[in-house]
Amino acid sequence: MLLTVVYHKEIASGIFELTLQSETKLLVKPGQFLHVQVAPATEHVLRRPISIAEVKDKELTLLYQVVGKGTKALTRLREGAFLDALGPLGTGFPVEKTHSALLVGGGIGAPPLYELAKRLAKEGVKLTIALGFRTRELSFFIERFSALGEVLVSTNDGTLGAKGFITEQLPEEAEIVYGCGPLPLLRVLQNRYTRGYLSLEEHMACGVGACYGCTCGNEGKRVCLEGPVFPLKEVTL
Amino acid sequence: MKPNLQVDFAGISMKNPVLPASGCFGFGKEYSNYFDLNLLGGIITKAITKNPRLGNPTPRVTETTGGMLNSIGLANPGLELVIKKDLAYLENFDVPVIANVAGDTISDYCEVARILTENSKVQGLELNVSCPNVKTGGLAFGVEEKVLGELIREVRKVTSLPLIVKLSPNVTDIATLAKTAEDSGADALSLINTLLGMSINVHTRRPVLARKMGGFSGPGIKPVALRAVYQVAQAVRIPLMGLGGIFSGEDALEFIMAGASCVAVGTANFTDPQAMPRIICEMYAFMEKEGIQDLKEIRGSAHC
Repeated sequence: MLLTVVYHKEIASGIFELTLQSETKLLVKPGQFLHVQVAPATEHVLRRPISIAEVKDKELTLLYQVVGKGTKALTRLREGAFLDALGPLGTGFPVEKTHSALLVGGGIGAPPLYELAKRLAKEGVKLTIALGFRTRELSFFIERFSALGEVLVSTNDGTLGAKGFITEQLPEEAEIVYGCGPLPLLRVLQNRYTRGYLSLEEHMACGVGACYGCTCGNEGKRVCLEGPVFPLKEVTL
Repeated sequence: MKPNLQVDFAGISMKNPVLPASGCFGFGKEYSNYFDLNLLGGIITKAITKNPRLGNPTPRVTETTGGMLNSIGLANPGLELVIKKDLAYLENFDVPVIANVAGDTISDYCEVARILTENSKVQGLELNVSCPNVKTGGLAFGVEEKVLGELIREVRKVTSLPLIVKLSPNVTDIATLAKTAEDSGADALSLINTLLGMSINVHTRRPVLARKMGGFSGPGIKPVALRAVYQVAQAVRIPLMGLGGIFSGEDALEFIMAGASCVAVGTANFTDPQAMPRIICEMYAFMEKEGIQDLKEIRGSAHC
């Protein structure tokens, strides 16, 4: 589908907030992603899978980090430009009506947790949101998350929040955990907690489940179709 | 009069010459969400092996300049499940199905070929000879004449279906292997499969793919694929399916002019899920504009 860029700003070092408008209202689950084509298609043959950070009526917000050729080219998109995207794709986080919930985001893994947090807060779930960043310059959305629950922040170098990994700040127990971030973080969550959901990532080609490029675990589940969100204990990390 | 895109390929009647390349379309279910599969000339399935295969460790896909690399490793649910679920799903469509067959040993290939031949939905078999051969220490069946010939002759014995052999470009002289395939009983050839390539991550200082090397596909391989079709068209008489970097109707027509009777589209599906219906429309539009009534008029026209 073709979306129109309505907002595009760098919000942290090399991290951009991109808001897109659709012609129709889209049904989006938190944790789903858009498979974005970077123009021109001949130079960027594969699409980039980017998680949806927020949904507001006909507007979708993506947060992305510049990591390579494609994401670098994305930064050139101006307001008013068109963006070709497939989606929303993949499984999303179920919005479970628990008493409380622990959300854990590592770096650029955090964005999908934002829409999730909004929906959980709406259901009256008491939220603890733990965000780990490498350094202050790479942190984002802390104020936005603070409006939805208690926020714990850590940076590897201690330039913001606690010094060290976010896993060192986590409670021993949680009624339910929702996590998104690097594999070592997800492994800690899988070992420590008993109930919840993890969002994985993997290099993708088709993004729709046809090419089997993005499989994970021991059963070869597709991160783009059976995932990216998997129940806490149901995927081998 | 509307141009005629219909083709008869090795006895398989197709409404148009465009099919999805093996491995780039699963068994059709996922892309059926993006367009009506009945629009296609045919469907080539993902490689089917006797036993289920998980494939190689990830990362097993990555973009490169001009295309992408894949080292998926023939991941598929295995013959039994494919017949039960995937081929059953394709019964919903009026499109000929060509089953791609892969294996570690000649007897594996034969068993899969034999069982698929009994399936009413399967109208042709495509032999994937780019699989590393366990007996010859990992060399693909398709790079050595004797082994290729033996494989095709044995599979030929167990099936009367149109037998299409998919040639690898990673050889010194593809025309020689094409002739071997023809002499051994192939009814048609499809070419090319992917080119062996790799990509290195300068930050990790290591290969990007977990398996280090993979198959290069996409727009970058089109000149190589065209050259191969052109050369093979001069070496054999059996019909050819051309593939490698087709992204537009004009790309497809280049292959027809090089000597192909039909074409397959792979990587382009990832860029644009509607690539194939678009390519079919573009072919019609080109033919109308240029006054070409039937593909017969331009097939092999590049050879003069």
